[in-house]
Amino acid sequence: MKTIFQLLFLVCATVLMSSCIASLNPIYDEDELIHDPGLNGKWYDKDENKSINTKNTSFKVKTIERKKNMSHKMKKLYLWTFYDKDTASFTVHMVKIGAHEYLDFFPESFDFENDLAEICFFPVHAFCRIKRNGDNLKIHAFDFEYIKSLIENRELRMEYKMQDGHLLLMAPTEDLQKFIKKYENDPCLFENEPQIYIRKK
Amino acid sequence: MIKKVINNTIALHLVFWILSYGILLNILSIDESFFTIDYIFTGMFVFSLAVPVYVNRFLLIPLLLYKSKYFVYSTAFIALIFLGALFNELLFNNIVDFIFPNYYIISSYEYEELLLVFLVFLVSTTLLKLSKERLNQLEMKSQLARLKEEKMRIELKSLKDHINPHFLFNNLNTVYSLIEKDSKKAEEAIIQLSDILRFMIYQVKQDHVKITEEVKLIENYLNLQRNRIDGDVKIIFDYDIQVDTFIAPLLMMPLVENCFKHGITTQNKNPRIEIRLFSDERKIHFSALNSLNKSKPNDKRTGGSGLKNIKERLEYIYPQKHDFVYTLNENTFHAKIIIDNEL
Repeated sequence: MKTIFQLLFLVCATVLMSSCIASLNPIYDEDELIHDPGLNGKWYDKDENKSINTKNTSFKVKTIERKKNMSHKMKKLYLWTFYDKDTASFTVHMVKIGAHEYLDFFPESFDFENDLAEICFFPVHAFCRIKRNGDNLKIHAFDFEYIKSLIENRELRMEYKMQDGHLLLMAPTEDLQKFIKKYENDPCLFENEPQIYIRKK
Repeated sequence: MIKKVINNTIALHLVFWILSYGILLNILSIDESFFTIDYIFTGMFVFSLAVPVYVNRFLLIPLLLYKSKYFVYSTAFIALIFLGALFNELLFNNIVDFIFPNYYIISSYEYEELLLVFLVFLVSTTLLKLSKERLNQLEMKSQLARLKEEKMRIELKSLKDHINPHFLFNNLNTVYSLIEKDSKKAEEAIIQLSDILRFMIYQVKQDHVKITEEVKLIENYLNLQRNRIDGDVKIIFDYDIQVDTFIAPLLMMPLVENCFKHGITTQNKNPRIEIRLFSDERKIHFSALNSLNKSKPNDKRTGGSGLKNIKERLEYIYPQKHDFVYTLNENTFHAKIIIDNEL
């Protein structure tokens, strides 16, 4: 389990964002999911080194999360595939918390070859704030180092687990939402510069 | 120590809130160890609980519950639970960051959970308050009873003190008169007087004495008096003690004394004193009869302090359990005491 958690973290960190916070629980409740059809398409960063392919997905992809929770409405579920040095796919849910929209990422492309590996798979979520303006997409990641320091210095009251320097939030969805909503305007919690992607047809 | 704390309201409240803080700190803390943020969170939580608790304690209970406005109180109480939970949310959503800007604190509880916590706290503190009130009432009642008892004891002592000088004075006069007449009799009289004084010094301190001791006292007294009476006075002391029950000391003695004080004179024809005492399991009957001193036509003893003292003592010692009557006719004075036996 430890190895897979680390692997997941590394994929998350290198492909999705420069850093990310892993959470045992998602930041959405099923009833709160929103959908933006304008998110579908192929997005590139300014150097065109990274790209994201995003589309509505079906349930054919297999994850433990999906097995547990089969009632998601298909139209509110995205499959995002990141192309960088590595390639990784994520099941993505969109939710509005406070004044902003957020995405909840859950790794999709870990297709285990044996049952033991699947049993040991430890599913985690990652979040970011998103703002789309036509063909412009801003992904604003949480400042992992800042939040980690808050938790280590006991300045943030939230359930967590620290494993080999990796932070895993254990707080329930309600607490995550309360935290995001309450401190949505605190610039310290987010990275200084958002990642900007442009859609190309 | 515990009683002192219970009686000291501020100390009691401090103990309650310190205990609550300790328990909530354990429940609310995320880790096994406690950190500053846990102390702050618990402190704020306890503060949000304390506000409605004291609103209930200082406003709702005295203004509504104590004035028997039960419906209004119940409504206000329920409203207070909702307002308390809202106050908790306001505190954690809007206020806590101004007070502790270096911390990121969110409330981990849903409104429904908060309602339950506030319900438990408000109900338990209301019950504690009412229990303490009840305890205070009982304490006050027992204090009043103690005060009443003390007052009675003082009054009885004063009555006894009132009796003693009369008693001594009369008997010393009797002994004095015997010394010149018959030294042998005077010697016996002194012994009898010393027995009487022993009784008055030691036995009188007790709440109750055996009735046979009282009989002995009367006998001593009568013997003493017989020595000083000139002429033919018929003195009868008839007693039948079937049960040696207990009686308040010196209760009958003033009536015996009065027989001699008011009824003996040579001017009377066939002067007599009849004292009778009977006691069994149920009652004590005492009666004292004497012929009147016709040389004192204005004898006012029916309104005298002696009879008044007896009446007061009987009322204090045997409330609703005694009967005291006296009759005054042309030739005799007759007083009767009947006491329900305390066996």
